[in-house]
Amino acid sequence: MTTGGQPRQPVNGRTVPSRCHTAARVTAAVFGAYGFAWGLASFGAELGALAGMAPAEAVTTSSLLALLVLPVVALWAFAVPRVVVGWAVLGGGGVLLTVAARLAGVAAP
Amino acid sequence: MTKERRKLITSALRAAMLWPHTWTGVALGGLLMLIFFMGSLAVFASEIDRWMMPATRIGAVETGPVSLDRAAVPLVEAIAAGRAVRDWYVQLPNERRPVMAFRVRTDSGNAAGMATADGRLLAPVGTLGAGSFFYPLHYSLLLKAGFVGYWIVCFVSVAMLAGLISGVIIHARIFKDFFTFRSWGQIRRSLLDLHNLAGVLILPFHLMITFTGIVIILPIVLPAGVHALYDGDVQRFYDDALGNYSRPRSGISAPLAPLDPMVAEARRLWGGGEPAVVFVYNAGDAASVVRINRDTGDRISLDIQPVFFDGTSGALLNYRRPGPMVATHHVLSGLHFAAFEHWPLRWLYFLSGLAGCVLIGTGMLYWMEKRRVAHGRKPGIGWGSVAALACGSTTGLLIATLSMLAANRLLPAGVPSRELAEVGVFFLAWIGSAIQAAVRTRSDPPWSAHCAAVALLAGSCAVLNWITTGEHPLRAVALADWPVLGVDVALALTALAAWHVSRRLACRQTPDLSTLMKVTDHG
Repeated sequence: MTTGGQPRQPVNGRTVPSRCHTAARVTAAVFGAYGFAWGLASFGAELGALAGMAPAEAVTTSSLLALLVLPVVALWAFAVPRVVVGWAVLGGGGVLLTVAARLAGVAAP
Repeated sequence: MTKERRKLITSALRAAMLWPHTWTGVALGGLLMLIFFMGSLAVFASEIDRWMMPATRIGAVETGPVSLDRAAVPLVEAIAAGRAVRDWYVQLPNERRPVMAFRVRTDSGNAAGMATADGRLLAPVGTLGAGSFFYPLHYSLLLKAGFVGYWIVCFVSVAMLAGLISGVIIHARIFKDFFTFRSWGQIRRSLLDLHNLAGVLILPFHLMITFTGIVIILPIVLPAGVHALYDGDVQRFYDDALGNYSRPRSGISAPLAPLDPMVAEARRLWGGGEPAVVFVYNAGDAASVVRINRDTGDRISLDIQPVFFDGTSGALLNYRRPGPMVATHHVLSGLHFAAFEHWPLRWLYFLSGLAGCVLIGTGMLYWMEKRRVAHGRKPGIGWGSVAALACGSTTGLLIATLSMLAANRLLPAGVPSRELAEVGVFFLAWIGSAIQAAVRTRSDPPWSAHCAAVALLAGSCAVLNWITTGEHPLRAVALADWPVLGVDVALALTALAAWHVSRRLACRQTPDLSTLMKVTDHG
């Protein structure tokens, strides 16, 4: 949090991050976290369907769980020390889960 | 504080949470304020509607159960005014809305109308009222196309959830400072205390209302599961989850079977309960479908238990109970809607919603006061923008709402598109007050002038209701017209409070920067 055109100074022992770094964190929190929630909801729905739940039940359950996770992982994107790790876990995890859901959907009878 | 908690919430985590907490608040505070304020008003939408639609203040329904065939069906053609009716529905009278409300979809546009329980059509109300303006503004910002409004509201709501969670982490000494409020201290300190008090005390409500608000439209904003199992067809998911039934028009015309026996059959299937809404799809067609929704006033769950009948034969087409998770979804949605008959809880919802506005508003004010120290006497353009935004979204929003209520009482009935004229007044007043706030913000936004405007508008709204409808508070008491009395009293209280605040602010000394600099806080 800098002010106006003042030089960037350490605040509370933490160096103030660059604009690019901040943008990476914000996009990780917004898009990365949503992608992660998307992956969870879609994988959960497929898992539920495989486990024999009615489709509407599986979709509702997995979406509610994903919504619980969404704000927490969005904040975690700010808490994780390295933003690259945040992007890797959220974005990569989201893609992996979505692909896994696809595979489960193909495998399902 | 236990040792475990100390480990879980480190000072590094607290420091990391400060940035998202601050900037979601500053960037999205205005929108959140709009959503929370309009949501609070929506709790009493029916009561505000009675105030804004004097023709519908007709006391409780005393004619017994409505006969749809005698009272409702003949009115549909009259409301359609000669156009071919495609679909229509009627909301039946209840304790809070003593009239039937019709919506008719015709070949050329929609039509709406209201009628008494015994089937007397009322003159057009000429207003959208709280139910069709404040309430949609709350959940969709009136941006219906492509669900854009839903997406924005849900994005902001997730940010609110993140803000609440990060706020708890930042303020880890939560139980120690639970009831700390030092109003006699520095303004910045008391703002922070008020922010924390509103945040902590009402935290369960805030978490519940924000979460359940997103839950209602979750399949639209997080359609991942729908994409996985329904090929992305949200309509098919809803039909499956809610037990809906639909079929296309056949093109063969056929008369509508009597509705009253269908309502009786629906009652039998429900095992008691009252019908709330009756839909007729494909009206006048051999493939017409009648849908009857149950009133949810006697339960938390928003399970409307729709029953579907064949419109020409009256035979039962579909009635299915939801599975346990969909039922859970209904309960969560019902917690948000608060459609249940429970007056103390309704007031609690209303007041908690306003406490949410206090939380958001004090957060923005606290940021402004803190930044003022950093910027010195000459605030930058960023500070000025946030100040104008904060002013426009709090007092400006009140001015806009009250201007619309005043326009509702002042515009003559003959004005063409009267309901849109009211909406125009709302937005013009809002834009005007925001521009005024932006122009007049020097060391502070024009809080005092705005509060004075709020006081004058609120007071004149109550007086205008008296002049234009003849219903002053004493008469409202005599008639037991509690909705109108309630709105009038709320307006009078708003006027008194706003006037008091305005006087206090006008007399306030501009704080000296040197004293501002001396203040320390733990934020």
